[in-house]
Amino acid sequence: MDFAGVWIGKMSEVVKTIIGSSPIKYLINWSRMYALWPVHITTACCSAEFGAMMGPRLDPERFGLQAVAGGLRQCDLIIVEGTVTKKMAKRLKIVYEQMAKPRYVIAMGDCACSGGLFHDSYSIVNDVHKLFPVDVYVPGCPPRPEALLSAIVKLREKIRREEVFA
Amino acid sequence: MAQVALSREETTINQLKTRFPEAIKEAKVDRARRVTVEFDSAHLIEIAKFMRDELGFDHVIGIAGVDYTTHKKIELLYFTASFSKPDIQDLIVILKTELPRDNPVIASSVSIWESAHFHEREAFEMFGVKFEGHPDLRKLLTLDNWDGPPPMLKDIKFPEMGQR
Repeated sequence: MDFAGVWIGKMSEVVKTIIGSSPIKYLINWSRMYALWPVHITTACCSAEFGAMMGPRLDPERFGLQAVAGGLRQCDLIIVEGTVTKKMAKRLKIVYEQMAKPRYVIAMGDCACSGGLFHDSYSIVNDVHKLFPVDVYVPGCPPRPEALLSAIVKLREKIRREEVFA
Repeated sequence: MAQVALSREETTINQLKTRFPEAIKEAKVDRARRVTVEFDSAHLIEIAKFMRDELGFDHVIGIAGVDYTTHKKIELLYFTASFSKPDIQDLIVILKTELPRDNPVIASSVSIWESAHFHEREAFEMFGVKFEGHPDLRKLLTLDNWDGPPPMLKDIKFPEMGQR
């Protein structure tokens, strides 16, 4: 028999190479783009704007962002809504670790980006990116719902171009 | 000439002043439905008992602390109100007292007002005020491994957070 076209190696490596080098990856990225399910975790007051963004006026469901009442393992996205206290940072990290990969993070509001109003407080984590990698930062105190929606559009653009097996 | 009826606020102040002529330092009506009464911190329990049993102020909404570094004092404010008496339900009486800043000690009012429990714990951890007779005086809000000073005192700085 002719073994010229046969690949020898780990099965996972073979699958990664096939998918990563073929148009299937666009299909996978496309499906990830349209299934951004946010975790329901509220750290501070930006959640009011998040609620406004999730409403029918802006209708983020057309971008696949859907409010689901499922478990953390079904979720893909953490939106860090505002100030992260040191107590909450621990919980936030636990939530992040529980989510299945791929997982994305949006830091919403000045407080989540750089500490904001409370930057020198004794009980605040200034930089959320020390806890986990952040994909999109949304400044503002609080950011408008439109700004948060544009961040989600940015994140979708990022997902569309990313490697499937990063 | 008909006697002008006293408002509820003035009636409350008069009752307190006649009952505790020396413990009440100053009492005034801030505006409608708000009364501030300054008292001597040694008489807290008697005043609280009188407020609850005679006047009907049966719970504490909150206990606030204010740190005056220049005057070397910590001010405690007890916001008291009533559930049980319908005619004074919208009235809030603020009991204000001063404590020395280097050793703030006051009797606990939990035996009178049970809702003061958590508020006293908060004032204890944020301002270092010791409430004598409190059943469970522990930290409430700060980190579990917090061993620093009371963070709301104004001369406490956290240089690692960039405070100067």
